Amino acid sequence: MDLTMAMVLVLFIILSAYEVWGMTVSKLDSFMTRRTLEHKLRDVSELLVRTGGDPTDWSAMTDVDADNVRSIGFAAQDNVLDFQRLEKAQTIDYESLREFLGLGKEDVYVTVTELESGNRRVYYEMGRQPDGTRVTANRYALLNDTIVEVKVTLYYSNQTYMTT
Amino acid sequence: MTGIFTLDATLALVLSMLVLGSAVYLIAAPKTQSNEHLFQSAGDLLTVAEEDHLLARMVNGDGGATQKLKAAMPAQTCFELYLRNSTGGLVYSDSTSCKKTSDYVIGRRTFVTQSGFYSAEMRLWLK
Repeated sequence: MDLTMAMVLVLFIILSAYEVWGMTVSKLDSFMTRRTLEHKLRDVSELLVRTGGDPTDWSAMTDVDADNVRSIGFAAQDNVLDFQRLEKAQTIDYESLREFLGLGKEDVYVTVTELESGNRRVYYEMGRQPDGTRVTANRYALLNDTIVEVKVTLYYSNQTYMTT
Repeated sequence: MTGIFTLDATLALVLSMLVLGSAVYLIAAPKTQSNEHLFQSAGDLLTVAEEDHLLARMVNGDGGATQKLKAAMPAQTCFELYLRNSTGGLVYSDSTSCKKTSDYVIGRRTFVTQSGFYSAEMRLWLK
């Protein structure tokens, strides 16, 4: 009887530990995936709102492609956006846009919205909005002396996203 | 039956339950929401306020300058803004009219106007 009771207890503890281990690994994996995406989101939003791109005159180029542009940004200076860069960014094809923002399998959607009047008019939008998990960053900047919100959303599907 | 409940076994069982309970609690407990986005917003808003010369206007006593900031902020975001001169004296302050919580972030930015060197401190929190 003692042996049976001890075996049941040990089995219970082992099974519980196995279950907890499985839950921990699953939660950790999900957490790491989301954390990686959040870091990438921060980098992308910084790139757009606080840099002018590389080279900085990319918006003046006739052909914006990987041969002559390494990254794009909307800013003429910190948190001050340049409408010419925004206009040009809207003409870039989607795959190139992802490449210039340093994205892999993630999808991206960017809007620039006017905030001051209370109407929340969208001035610019680019990218795609597929189904799937998403993370969003809301950044603030000036565009032609008006405060705007730059909303950057990254999407990923659990099947295709790989942590790095 | 009572033979197995020795002191050692009881202690081991209690310890095992404690470890298991703690593990389950830690896994199931809701994660504290990161305030990273609020820090980012505070930094952005102070930069925008400086670039748009709103901070300089506030230093000069123009109370209407914060209206532009207030109009641009999301409805669920509240703030307090303090501007201090180079000696630490308060020269301007303003805030939204909502109840302050203990979970706020502080963004700081220094800036220069024709009248001198100043620092801006923005406390930001969610309703």
